Amino acid sequence: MKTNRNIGLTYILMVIVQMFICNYFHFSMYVTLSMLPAMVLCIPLSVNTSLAMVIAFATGLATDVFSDAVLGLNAMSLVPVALARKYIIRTFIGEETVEREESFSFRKNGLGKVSASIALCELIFFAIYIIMDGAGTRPVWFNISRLCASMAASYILSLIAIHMLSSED
Amino acid sequence: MPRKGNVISYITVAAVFIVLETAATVMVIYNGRLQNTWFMKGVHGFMSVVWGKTESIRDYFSLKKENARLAEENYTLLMELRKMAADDRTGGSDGFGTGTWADGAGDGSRSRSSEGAGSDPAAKAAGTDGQWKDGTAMEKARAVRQRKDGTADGVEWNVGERGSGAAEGPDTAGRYRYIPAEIGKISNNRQHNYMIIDKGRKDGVQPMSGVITRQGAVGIIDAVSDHYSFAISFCNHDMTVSARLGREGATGTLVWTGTDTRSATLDGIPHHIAVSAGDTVFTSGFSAIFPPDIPLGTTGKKRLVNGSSFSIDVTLFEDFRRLRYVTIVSNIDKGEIEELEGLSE
Repeated sequence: MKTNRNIGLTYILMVIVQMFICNYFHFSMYVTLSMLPAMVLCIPLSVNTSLAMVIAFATGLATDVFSDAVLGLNAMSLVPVALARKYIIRTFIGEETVEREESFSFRKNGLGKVSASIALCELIFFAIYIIMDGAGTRPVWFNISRLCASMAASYILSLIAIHMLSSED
Repeated sequence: MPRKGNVISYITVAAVFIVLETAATVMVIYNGRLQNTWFMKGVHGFMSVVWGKTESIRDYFSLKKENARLAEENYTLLMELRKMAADDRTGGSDGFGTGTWADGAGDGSRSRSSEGAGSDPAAKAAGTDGQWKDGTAMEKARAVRQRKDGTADGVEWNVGERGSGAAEGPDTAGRYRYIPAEIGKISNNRQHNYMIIDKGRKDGVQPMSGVITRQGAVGIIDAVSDHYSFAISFCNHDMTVSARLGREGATGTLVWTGTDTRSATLDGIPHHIAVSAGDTVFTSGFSAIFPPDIPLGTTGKKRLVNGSSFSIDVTLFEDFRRLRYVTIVSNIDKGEIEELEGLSE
């Protein structure tokens, strides 16, 4: 079983990995790879929402600083994910998990519920990210295509992130 | 019911969220050129909407003042038109010879025998006593005036000769004096409608003066106090207006039908007169109250009454439900004319 300290170190390591992804993995203008929403989802439930938002903000800002993105873009997109984190877990994984402040995992909760949680977190993150990145200069169909492609591409990365950060797996 | 601790927690979360998102937004705007442009465009759009709405609200609240200003401007322009029209008339076309009018009626010193006659305005305005049926009375008035002044046809009438001692005032055109006014209260849903006007005796208003707009004769002053006047609306069975078909046609009596505020009937048009639907009806000027040539409405269907005259439906131009600014008009020779009528009777 992973300790909170291990989770913290893994989290920082994954932020560094995300910086590399942002800097070196540009497959297409339609695809943005990010496992940050899944990482925020995995912040232990013992951490309250306010602190989770601060962590998410710092994570996003660090990624922005060390990548070629517009400063504040990841931070802006990630804070709402942290705000909605407990509601998403309560909705898809269960009330008990939140009440007992337990962690969730594929093994305990099933792939479907965890995937739904990831999908919703990614939807929030990419919706804000793509709209702000385009700044009204791109057509709606482009933004929707980019949203779908990015969510699909990032899903795999998110599964890996949750696997690494989940204390149960 | 949420506990106090929960409420504080929600407020804290909301505050942290707002602070972090604001910080992130500021960073994005300052570091992204596109985002900056987009944001500024949004801000400008928002500001223009806010300013537009604010301006609309301000405009709405200043409408009364603006309306009053426009009414005053309208009155000034109309007075110029009336003066020009009066000058044209005195050029020899109205039976008053070539004399010009400069009677200083604005001094208010002329006696008016109609004062105090407000108790029965309908009779004065429309009845056989009050209404000028034809032009002969005008001719009589001119003869009496010439007798008094010792002048003959074609002789110019000046101030001294008329005895008023003042030049034609800015509110006087021809033999009529005009006073702009605003309606304070008006009734439209009764059979005997009335209006309260914000000008009274101290403004020079006298009973038996007409109340007009550019689109009709709307009432007759019945009684006056120092600052207000009570007028009988045209939408009243007791009131009639002497009207003419076109500017040169036959004259008759226009009376409200009592059904709605825009319909009237023109009675007494001889049956041999050709009348077409859509003809304009004007004031005849044969009344001592209303000046001639004020458009009143357009003709509609006609009916033969007793085999001798037409009764014609008229759609009025003036919408009494929107009536607000009016002009009070008084005939400065009215006293003299009534005196003459008294002599002839």
